[in-house]
Amino acid sequence: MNKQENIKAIEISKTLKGRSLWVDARRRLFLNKAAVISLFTLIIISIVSVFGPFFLQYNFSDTDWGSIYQPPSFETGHYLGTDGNGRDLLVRILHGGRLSLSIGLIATFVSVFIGVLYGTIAGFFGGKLDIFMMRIVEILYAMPYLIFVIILMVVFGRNIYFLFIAIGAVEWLTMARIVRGQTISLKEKEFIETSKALGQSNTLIIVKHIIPNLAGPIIVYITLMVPSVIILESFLSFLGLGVQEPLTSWGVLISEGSREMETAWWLLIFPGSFMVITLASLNFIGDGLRDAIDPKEY
Amino acid sequence: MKDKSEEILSVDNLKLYYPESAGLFKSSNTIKAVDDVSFKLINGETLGIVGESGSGKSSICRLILSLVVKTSGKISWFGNDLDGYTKKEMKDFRKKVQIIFQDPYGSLDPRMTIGSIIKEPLDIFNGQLSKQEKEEKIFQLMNDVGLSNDLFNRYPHELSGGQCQRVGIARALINEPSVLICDEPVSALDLSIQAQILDLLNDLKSKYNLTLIFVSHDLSVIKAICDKVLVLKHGIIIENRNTDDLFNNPKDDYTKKLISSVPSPIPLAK
Amino acid sequence: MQSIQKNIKNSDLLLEVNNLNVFFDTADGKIQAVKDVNLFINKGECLGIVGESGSGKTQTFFSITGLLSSNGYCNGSAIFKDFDLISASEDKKREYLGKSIGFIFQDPMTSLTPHMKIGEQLSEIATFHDNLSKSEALKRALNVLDIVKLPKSRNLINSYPHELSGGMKQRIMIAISLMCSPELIIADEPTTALDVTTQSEILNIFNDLQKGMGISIVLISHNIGVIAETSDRVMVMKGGKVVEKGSTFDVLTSPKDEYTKHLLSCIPPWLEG
Repeated sequence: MNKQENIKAIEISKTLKGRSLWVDARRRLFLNKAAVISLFTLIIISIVSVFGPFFLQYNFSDTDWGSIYQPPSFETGHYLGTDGNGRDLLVRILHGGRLSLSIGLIATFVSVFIGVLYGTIAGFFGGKLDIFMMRIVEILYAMPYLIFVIILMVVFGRNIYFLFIAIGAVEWLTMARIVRGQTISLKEKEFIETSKALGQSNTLIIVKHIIPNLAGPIIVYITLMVPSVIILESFLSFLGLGVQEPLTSWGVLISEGSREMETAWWLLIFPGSFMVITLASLNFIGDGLRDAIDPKEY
Repeated sequence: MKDKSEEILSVDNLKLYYPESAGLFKSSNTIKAVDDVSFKLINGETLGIVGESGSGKSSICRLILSLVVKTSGKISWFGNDLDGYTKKEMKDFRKKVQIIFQDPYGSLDPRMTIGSIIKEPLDIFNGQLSKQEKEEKIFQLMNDVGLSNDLFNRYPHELSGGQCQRVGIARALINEPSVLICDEPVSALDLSIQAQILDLLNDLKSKYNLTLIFVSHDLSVIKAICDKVLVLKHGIIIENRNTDDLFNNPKDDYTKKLISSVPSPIPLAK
Repeated sequence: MQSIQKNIKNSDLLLEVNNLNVFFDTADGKIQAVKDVNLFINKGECLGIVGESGSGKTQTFFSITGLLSSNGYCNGSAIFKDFDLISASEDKKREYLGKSIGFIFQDPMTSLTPHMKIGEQLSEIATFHDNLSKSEALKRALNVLDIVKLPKSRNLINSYPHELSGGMKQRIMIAISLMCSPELIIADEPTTALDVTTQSEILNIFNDLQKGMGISIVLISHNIGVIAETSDRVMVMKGGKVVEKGSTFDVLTSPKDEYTKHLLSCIPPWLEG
């Protein structure tokens, strides 16, 4: 074979694509009906939350004193009724959804970032550094997180961005522990030893070999962390530490609704349903991902 | 041409001890994984290390590559003590001494394609090469170890055990090392694949002027490929001789027992 | 030839497998792991099964003993002393498994329950199948330990699996299978995870069981040396099919099938001398 032909053969063979573990995982995920329906539901809820308010005739902070505590009705355009200030519930739920979902995502992102970095370093280098870093995590674990969040809120003021950071700063501890454990078992693997024997730098071993192989458990954990962050925000809002009026979140709406549920059931039922559906979807997706990424049967 | 009897690597009084975790109130014992091991590796030879599980044969490989920290002893590369090496010299040493492991799947990163796995050592040592030069080299190596080109973009889980072991060999050889340490390279493979990999190692040995350290628990494999053999038991070398000598008239009782324990594939007439 | 042999020694026949097929449902569709396998085992005989990974040698016996994973199923028949193991209900099968048929796995490290003492693990099966009291079962356990050449000591009975070496654990596994005086022991790569010196000791035990106690043994192995030393008859499998069977001596010294010839040619040559 002359050189030209050889290069041509090589070019052809380079176009043949392999089937990566991700492609396999995606195929298995799409075979899981519950996960697919959940994914679909979640996408719809997100799109409606983000774009829905633009198509509704009411604004989330508009008060309509003529229609206080109005039950759901199609004639008035208050499809899900109104609250005690005559504000349209549907538009408030969608606005709350924006906030709850973005807190869920951003706080999770913050905690994953800190947790993965911290966990891989502690797990990979081991020894005294590991002991030191994990003791810090344990001390932080021992602190009641509510007090921690309250202190943050008091010091920095009730700013919505600090709410993101405060929740993220609490949630990263678990992430760091999980990542550390996985890193320790990964670094015993022979392909990591081979890389070390090759003289690969520690930073590149972590970036090229450890983190990509951690991606599976991390993604699964993210889907389980987002709901817990949404619940945490609801809880803080319930205590009055969360977002402030007229801004709202699902947690705030539920806490308000629960006070009025005897007179205006819709104020609790509708925000509650949105939240339950979202959380259930996230959990089903998490389960589906776990089965897809880490299959035991095959 | 290098002097045939040139000594590449020498190991003197190498020891690896570690404390046994014996529980809270028990006194801890010392486990001697490698105990006072000395040997020399001569250019171009294949040195076999044979022993049963727990004999310390894998520990010796990891000690040579500084993957574990030795308790005491000296490892010299062309007469220079590795302890005195600077970071840069150590990197050069790592380029020259490569390893392949037992588990063909475990030694390849499951998230990387075959091409990028073989490329990794080039990125570390030959960063100045262009993308095309690197690819040429990768395909050259894949060819040498008997992997077809269309595996370039495949992932380890799509390959058979024997193919994965070939990928490991290609990765080890891409920077043209002088020593290849093979830690039980065929133990996890089927018999017919074993024979192919052993043949391949023999071919590559002459093609790349390699010196091999070949670790195995399987005496038949050792006999088939090695010039000299170290017999290890509980971290101690009990025999260090030419392969033919060792198998024809084993001196030590343990060696005799090892050799007589290998089941013969020739059945007795019944 | 097989059927003639069968008729002559009909009273000796212990297990007869006919037209066995094993399938697995996978994401890539239905896969047939075992294709139309026929075999028989006489009383007191050792049958060796040779094949490389994926040859279906393990799945053949997993299906007979009901150990297939949940996505696998099989058809055909496996008559063990007038009783069809394949069509039988789970409960009925359980009367035979562990009692008349023992199974020994490759990895002795994971075959024993880590939190139970050796004595308990040995006696458990006898209290279950033979309704023995705990003390009777322990007495029997001590006798069985003697057969597998382990010390009949209280110390061993009271130790946990992690305190034993690989070879000792595999002996315990053999001992467990002997607790209810089985007629057939199926050993799936019983020595693959062990050192050569331990391997030869374990093979000696199998020889004693077969020659001394008249227990039939199925020895599944990829190691032709192991098969040659222990089995009377051998069956070579490839890709789920039986490619050659016959007496061990005939098959290994004058193989007929190309694949058997190829397998034998892969053995490093020195051992033949």
